[in-house]
Amino acid sequence: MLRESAQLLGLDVDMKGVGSPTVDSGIPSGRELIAFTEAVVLRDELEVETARVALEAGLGKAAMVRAAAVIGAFEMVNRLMDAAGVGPTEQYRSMGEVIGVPLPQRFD
Amino acid sequence: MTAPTTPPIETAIEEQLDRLVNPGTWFTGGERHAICSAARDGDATSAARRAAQRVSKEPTTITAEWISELAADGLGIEAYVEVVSIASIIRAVDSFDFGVGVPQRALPNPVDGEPSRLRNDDVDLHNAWVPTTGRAVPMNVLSAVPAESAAMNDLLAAMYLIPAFNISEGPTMGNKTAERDGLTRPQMELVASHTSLLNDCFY
Repeated sequence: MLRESAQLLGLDVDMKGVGSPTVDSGIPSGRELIAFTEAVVLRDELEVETARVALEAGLGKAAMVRAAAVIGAFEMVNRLMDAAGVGPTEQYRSMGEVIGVPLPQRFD
Repeated sequence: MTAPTTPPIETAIEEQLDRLVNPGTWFTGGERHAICSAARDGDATSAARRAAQRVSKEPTTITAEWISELAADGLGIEAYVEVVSIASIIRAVDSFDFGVGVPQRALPNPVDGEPSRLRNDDVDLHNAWVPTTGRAVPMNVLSAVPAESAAMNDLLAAMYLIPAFNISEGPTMGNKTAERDGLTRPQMELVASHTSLLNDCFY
């Protein structure tokens, strides 16, 4: 959905930017979004304020709040799927290579 | 056709907190309150609380065998689904609050009453360890406990996008150019993908 929605907006996306904060995904404010996501998911008390301020400076407060909500939604969905034992679909199995992160061994 | 809408995030979260301490399908309000607390770091002295803590803290270590052990310890599969829902929903709320920089919310006091014990007879085992209505996807993964499924989908709609793939306008999953509060769909998907990556979730 990332690639598809980006193409519709005329964005040239590097999917490796999903997996690595050092790679520019090509999404506007992508680095700030990645830094904020990392700080929230990893509960990084030291980094979260800096990441929040940087994201607000780039996209505004409402977008920062929405980004926090999307993180919350996927923190929920990830747990639902893992706890229910739903593994990756065939389509998603190849995604590890695309974003430069191999699938964990538990999916072998 | 009018584009669908959702309540504001704050309203949706407050509704969820109230619901989490009310009687559910297999647990009383007091038990649900304790399950929420266990998910957040409280004591894990029952099968339901142990399950909540693991769903919240180590979801990728869960196995089918462990769910069977929980069943042997008195936590049936439908009750397990309710625990998964509670632990996942409170995690969503706490992550949001941490992100926007407000303290973790206190849970309301539990509400008296009996669980409904309403079963969904239309579920079966497909591609998951829990029974679902058809192949398990995020939107139906809790379908063995319809009240939890509806609540989770409401929160998903308010925080991310309305789970309607057949509607291509408004804040829906079917709208590939949806924008909410200044965040474009590709930006939302970048956040979603990176969250899943950090959680080691490859669904």
